[in-house]
Amino acid sequence: MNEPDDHFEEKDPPRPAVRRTFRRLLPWLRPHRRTLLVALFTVLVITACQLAGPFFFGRTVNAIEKDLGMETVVLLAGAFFASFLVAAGVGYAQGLMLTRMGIRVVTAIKERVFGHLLSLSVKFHESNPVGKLIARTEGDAETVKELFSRVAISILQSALAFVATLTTMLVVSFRTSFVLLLVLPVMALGAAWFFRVIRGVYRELRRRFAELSGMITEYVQGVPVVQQFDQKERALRLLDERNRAKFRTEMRSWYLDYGFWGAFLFVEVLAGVAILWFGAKGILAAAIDVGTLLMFLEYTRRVFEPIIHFGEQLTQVQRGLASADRVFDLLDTPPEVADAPGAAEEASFTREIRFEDVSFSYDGVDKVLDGVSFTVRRGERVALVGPSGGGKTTLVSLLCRFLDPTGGRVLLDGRDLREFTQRAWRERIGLVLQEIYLFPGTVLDNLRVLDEDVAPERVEAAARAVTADSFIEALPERYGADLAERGTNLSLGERQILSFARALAAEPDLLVLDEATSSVDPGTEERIQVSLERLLTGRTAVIVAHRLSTIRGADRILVVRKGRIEEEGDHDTLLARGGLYRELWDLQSAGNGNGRPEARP
Amino acid sequence: MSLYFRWIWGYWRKRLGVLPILLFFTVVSTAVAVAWPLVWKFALDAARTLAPGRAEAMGRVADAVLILLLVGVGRSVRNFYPMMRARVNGLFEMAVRRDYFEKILHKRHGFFTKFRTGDVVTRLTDDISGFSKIAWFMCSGVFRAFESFSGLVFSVVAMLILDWRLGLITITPLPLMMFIWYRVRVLVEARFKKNQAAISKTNDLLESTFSGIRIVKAYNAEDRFRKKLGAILSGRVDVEMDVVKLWALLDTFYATLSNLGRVLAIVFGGLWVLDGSLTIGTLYAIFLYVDQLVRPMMDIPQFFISGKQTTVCIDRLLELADFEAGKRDDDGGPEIVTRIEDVALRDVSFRYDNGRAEGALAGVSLTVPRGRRVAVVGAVGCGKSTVARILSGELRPAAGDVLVNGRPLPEQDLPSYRRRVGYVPQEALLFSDTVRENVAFGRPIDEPALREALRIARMDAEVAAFPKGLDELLGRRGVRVSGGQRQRLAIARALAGNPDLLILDDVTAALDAENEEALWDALAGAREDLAAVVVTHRVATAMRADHIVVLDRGRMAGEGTHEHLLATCPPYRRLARSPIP
Ligand SMILES: Nc1ncnc2c1ncn2[C@@H]1O[C@H](COP(=O)(O)OP(=O)(O)OP(=O)(O)O)[C@@H](O)[C@H]1O
Ligand SMILES: Nc1ncnc2c1ncn2[C@@H]1O[C@H](COP(=O)(O)OP(=O)(O)OP(=O)(O)O)[C@@H](O)[C@H]1O
Ligand SMILES: [Mg+2]
Ligand SMILES: [Mg+2]
Repeated sequence: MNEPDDHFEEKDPPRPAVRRTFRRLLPWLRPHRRTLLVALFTVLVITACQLAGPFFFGRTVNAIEKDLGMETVVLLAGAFFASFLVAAGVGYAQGLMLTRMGIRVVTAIKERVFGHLLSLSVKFHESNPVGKLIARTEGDAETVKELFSRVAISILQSALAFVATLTTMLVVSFRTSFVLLLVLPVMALGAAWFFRVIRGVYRELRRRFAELSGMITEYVQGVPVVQQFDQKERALRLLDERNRAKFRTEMRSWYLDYGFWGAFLFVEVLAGVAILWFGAKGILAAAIDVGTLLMFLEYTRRVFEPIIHFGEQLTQVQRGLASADRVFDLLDTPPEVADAPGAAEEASFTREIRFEDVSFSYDGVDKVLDGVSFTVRRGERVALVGPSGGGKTTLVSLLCRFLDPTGGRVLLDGRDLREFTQRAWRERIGLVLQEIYLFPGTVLDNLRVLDEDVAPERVEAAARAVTADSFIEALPERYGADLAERGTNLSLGERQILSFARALAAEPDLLVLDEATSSVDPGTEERIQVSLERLLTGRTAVIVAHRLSTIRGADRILVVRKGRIEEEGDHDTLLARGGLYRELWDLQSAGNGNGRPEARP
Repeated sequence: MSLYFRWIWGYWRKRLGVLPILLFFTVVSTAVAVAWPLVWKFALDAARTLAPGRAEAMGRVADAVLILLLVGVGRSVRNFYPMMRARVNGLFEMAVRRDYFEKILHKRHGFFTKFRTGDVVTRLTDDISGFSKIAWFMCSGVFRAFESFSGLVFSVVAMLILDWRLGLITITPLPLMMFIWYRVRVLVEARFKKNQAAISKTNDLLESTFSGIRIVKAYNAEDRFRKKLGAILSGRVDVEMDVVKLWALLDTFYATLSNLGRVLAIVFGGLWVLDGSLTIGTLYAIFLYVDQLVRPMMDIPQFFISGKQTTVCIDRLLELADFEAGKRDDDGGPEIVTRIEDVALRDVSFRYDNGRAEGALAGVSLTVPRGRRVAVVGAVGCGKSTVARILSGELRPAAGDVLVNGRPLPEQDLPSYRRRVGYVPQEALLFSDTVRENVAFGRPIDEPALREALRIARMDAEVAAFPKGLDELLGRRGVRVSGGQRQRLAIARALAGNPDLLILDDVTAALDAENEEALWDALAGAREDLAAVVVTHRVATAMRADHIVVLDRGRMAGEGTHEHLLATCPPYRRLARSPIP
């Protein structure tokens, strides 16, 4: 049921059995066994106190009735209060203990979910709005917290209190409490139905909420576009839609919740009435005395109190379970690109990378790449050029193993890339993406991607190589300057140069540049190329560029069109060949300033 | 205080219709709360008259049973009260979210560099809909407190009437409770503020990590990001525990105090029952009252606590709203722009809030008459995009004028101007929606016009090849298409509105030569009188323009035709003479 697919939450997957979800939750509690044990003990103490309460109460009343004297009354009442005090104190300690445990567990869950999301493929991420994923990591886990902290234990407590009270009642007088036994099964059936239904509703609610936050996230980021096209109304309409969808589901959950418990409360009244009626008859028949009847009424209240409490808590549990299901669904989504068992932890790039008859399809139908074969030898500079949408970025994704080929193989020194861990292979690579991304945070942290082992000097050297120093030095705190979200307080060209510096700072064996200088002016690019000449000695580079002059000096140029390699050779060979490359070159240099593109070396 | 009161009242005012219903429920609820123990008193006192063999007393018990049933129905009905409140909460939640979302839609550029997405989204979701936060407080918080207060008052009165001595004794802990609340409320505020800030921080990190997933993976930074999240989360444990501790302490304290009331009731009540001045029924009734008072006594402090939390959340929303309050993105005059004849910048300067002191632009002037194409060129970071954004109306100059049809833009209606402009930003941003929705983008554009725009942008063939054609879904930010396709879709979106002025910010960076060539040809063929501003790094592209403006570090370095600039403008010469065209 869990295909490693995108948009995986468009509909709610079938609900797993409660038992299964619980079983999966248990391992999270293992590190907290001691806490749980202590908590269990406190439950016993509290239950004992709760039972003692009405007992002392009944006795007090009887003592008053039978005129046993002031002292006895005060003593019994004192015991009554003491039982509360103990319950309250122990309850406080227990509450804190469990809440702390709950927060810890949830922190662990969040970390696991986050870790899992990081391991999921790029494809998964790119088809799921960020806001939805945030709602899953943060929101759902928060809801699960309820399960661990108070609720689980107080359910236990309620259940225990319920059973104990019921037993006591049965022992004291079977006849009067018999009524209760008639009512309870009916209520249990009702409750079972209710919980099944409400859990589904809660799940839907969480989904609606995720959709809502997904929408808000996307539009908050897209405000400039929305304003430009004067589409605020539309954005608001969309919000209204999502808002209302959530509202409706939420209301459905409340109607169910309160409707059910309203009916339930009435059953309590019925039970009380019955006890009163039969109790009165009992008194008439001299079978019981008034004190016992009172005690019974109090017990009835106490039987129902945990049931109602229990029910409310169980509703909470359903809420938590619904979120837990969502968390587990996510954790069950297998990474599309995963490390094979026993994959090599070290990858050395000594000879070559080979694409061997590689095909790729995003959707399983349309082949974006079709039988692509080529070799990049160590130390070579290979360029990929060709029309937009031809598959260059896809090739880069395969090279970095963001994706695995659907047909054919990518070989590193003769071994399939899949025989290495992703980490091992990526350690060799420095990548500049076509879509520029910088993290909010300092320039330094961005350039070394949070890796504190990378010395600032190395980062600065990399920055100088791509002329990034010129504008970094102009920032108020230089390398310590904070970048805004996505680095938008820099111009796009500046951001691109920073991503370039980031790739160089990793000192990779293989430099992969997907349109790494597309937004940079020719003057700056020229300077970058000069230092690149120096930096590239002994390194390998795969360069994607539309601007053909960028890759003119490459050892080999592959012309990619419609998922195939159409031409291959160096600049002069390809020009001489008069194919697609020639066509593109002529188009680009036609209007060139010096008018004679070929006149230059 | 009155600020928050007015804020909340602002929403209530539009929903006064639900007040009678809520009040009705409050009355029912109070009546039931007061009647319930009394009925039991009646029943018990009836039972007391029972004795073995005295069957006629059963008549009174039967009456009691009937009354009990009646009040029991009332109790079930009362259960619909929270449901009603939940509904009103939900309505408020939607209204508040909508309002602040709308305010954010009207924010100017500076807002988005100051506030981060994760933070803003947290404020628009969790802060509003979380338990005991804004929406909950606005109805449930208030009316639960009201219900409780009313129940409390009437119960106390009933108790005092039943037996004033016992009543007095059992309510002695009440003032103490109020006092405790009074002492801790400051703590609540500080701790809660920290808590919400920590949630925002978590969401910020999640947002940036998921958005930059390729970089995280490419640089093997998964563990480092996990550690970063771990640090934030473990910081949250203590902050959250602080909040919980406070709650638990109050909880326990209040429960104990109310139990103290119960014990006092039994002891003294018991004594008075013994000396005959109290019936056992009355004692039981008072006992039930005390029991019923526990929840109200919790609800009232809860009202104050969640009130404090709510003020924190409201503050967080107001912080968003107050950022450059009074300045909207579409501020302007009343004159509608129906057609753009020409656009000009006169001596324009601009400085980003957090940018360099010397500013991003200084003394920039240019004119774009109808039917003409103006190119803006210059080195990285020289201010080209800033010019484009000022022309598009996204940024407003610090000094100098933007003139549209010879008149200052601020005197004209900005949305109507924007509708006549097609602006393609340097970074194409699409939405996770269909191709059709992305291109038409909510405007009433018919299919032929849509296809025409796609054709000019050279995207028609590729869209046709998508399995679902125009209805193909793009991923988040449009990641399901290639870089160049995304750019071309953004161009199509700009063209689909049939603009008079086209602003293209370095769009050819992601286009191949063939597509670029065809794009210019198609543009030229599409509309004779289309004015265009083209930001570019390519001299070849600039040469197609009628007029070229050269920027150098935010200043005009020269303008004119290609030949003129080659002869007179050194920065341009550097650009043109570079071996990289
Ligand atoms: N995530 C995706 N899901 C489905 N299809 C995709 C996805 N990414 C790209 N494609 C499709 O695959 C094809 C190749 O895209 P790719 O990004 O590799 O092109 P490209 O050569 O890099 O183009 P450009 O020069 O415009 O960047 C395109 O037709 C594109 O629509
Ligand atoms: N939001 C911002 N906050 C602060 N400074 C900014 C912001 N956006 C841009 N800048 C700075 O203003 C200057 C001009 O930026 P602009 O984006 O206009 O440059 P550009 O000419 O478009 O460059 P590019 O060729 O790289 O696109 C740059 O130095 C940049 O660092
Ligand atoms: Mg690409
Ligand atoms: Mg720019």
